[in-house]
Amino acid sequence: MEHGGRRGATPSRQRTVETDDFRADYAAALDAYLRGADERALDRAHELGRRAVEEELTLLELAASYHEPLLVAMRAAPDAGSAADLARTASEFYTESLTILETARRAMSEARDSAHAERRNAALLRQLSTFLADPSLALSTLDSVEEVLTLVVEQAREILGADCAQATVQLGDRLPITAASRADGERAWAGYLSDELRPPGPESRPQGDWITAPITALDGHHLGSMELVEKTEGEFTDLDQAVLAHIAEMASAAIERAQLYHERR
Amino acid sequence: MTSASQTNRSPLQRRVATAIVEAAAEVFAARADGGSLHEVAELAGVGRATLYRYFANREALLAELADVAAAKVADRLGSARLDGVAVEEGLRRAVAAFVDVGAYFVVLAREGVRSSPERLEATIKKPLRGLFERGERTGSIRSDIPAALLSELLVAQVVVALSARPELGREDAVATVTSMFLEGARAGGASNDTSPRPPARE
Repeated sequence: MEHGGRRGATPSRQRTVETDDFRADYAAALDAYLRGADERALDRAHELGRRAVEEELTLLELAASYHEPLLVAMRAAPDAGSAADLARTASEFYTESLTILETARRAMSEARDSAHAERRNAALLRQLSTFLADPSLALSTLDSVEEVLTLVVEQAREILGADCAQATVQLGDRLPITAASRADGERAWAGYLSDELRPPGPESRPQGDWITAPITALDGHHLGSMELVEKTEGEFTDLDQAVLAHIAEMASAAIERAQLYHERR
Repeated sequence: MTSASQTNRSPLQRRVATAIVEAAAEVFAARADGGSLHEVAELAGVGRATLYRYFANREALLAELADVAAAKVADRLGSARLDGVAVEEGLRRAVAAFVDVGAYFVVLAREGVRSSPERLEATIKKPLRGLFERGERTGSIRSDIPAALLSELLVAQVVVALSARPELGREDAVATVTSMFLEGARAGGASNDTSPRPPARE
């Protein structure tokens, strides 16, 4: 955005002008508050805090805007007691202006963390897809199915932030192959999986928060399923369910490929 | 490049282990203070549980990384045929081989001293020492510095060049290390050198 009076100013010059404007406005508002500490004057502190965020002022710049007029006011105070009162009153104003800056900073930090987690989860999904699409998988024996399942539950648990992940498949007449990944410690899922790994049925399904996705062959027949139990933070969402379904599909394709190759040998 | 522990793994397990070891080489080489296993898992694109299932601890991961690195170095040095060329060309080829191995070489040189000095000796130092000893005999390498120390110095220079930021390109890294090293190691180099020198101390 370009302001009429600042047209052609270099970015650093413009920033200095903005900071100077901010300091002048902050000093005037603080002075008004010190003369009569009312709600309206305090609202002005809130507005200045918001403006500091918009103009991307640092905490140090905001502190400087506060300290300079406060020192002027304290020097003009008739005695030490009045100066102390001024400092107490001014700190209310400062805290109000600081609150919104701190809130904005926390929100930005959370957004950054969230963006980092999303990037990391996307990388985990991409890598899982690469592993499962590797041509070497088609040359493996059925032992690889267990590794596929283990890899899939470990990645799924991490990507979706669950306490426990389990996957089971039944290939022909063979015994079911099951893999699980669990967080450390005693958690809600402990009773569900502690004795033996088994395909979940209505009687063995966990209480509380869990999601499931089928592992299905290309011709539609049921190979098994994947379950995630207890979201670490919050509850599972529809998006979590969709991601789990996607992971289960990747696992289905890899397992079926390994199985087809094994049968043709 | 298959290490001993890789031979017992299925193709999928080899694929996963390789991704983890590659990431470990990058992370450990980039950070002189080590770098965490969480960073390795993140760069490899695997869950932490997966990393710990493959490598129970940092030492296990470093041991396999050193295996792979040593195999890569041995393979490159073998192709370089150091014995069949003049010493200076051999030195350039050795440096090029180390630079090509990249992050693996940095970790092997840095960590190998602590975790597997024998392997470091066999894969890197011995061939280099042989090259320098030949150079001393033929008069192309100064003989007042022991060949073992020259080997150590060359390895250190390659590590520095590979760790430089901004990164040096392959050719720049090879040329920089080779020329810097030869200027100091060449026999009679000091007396023939007419470049300006700092004033001698009183």
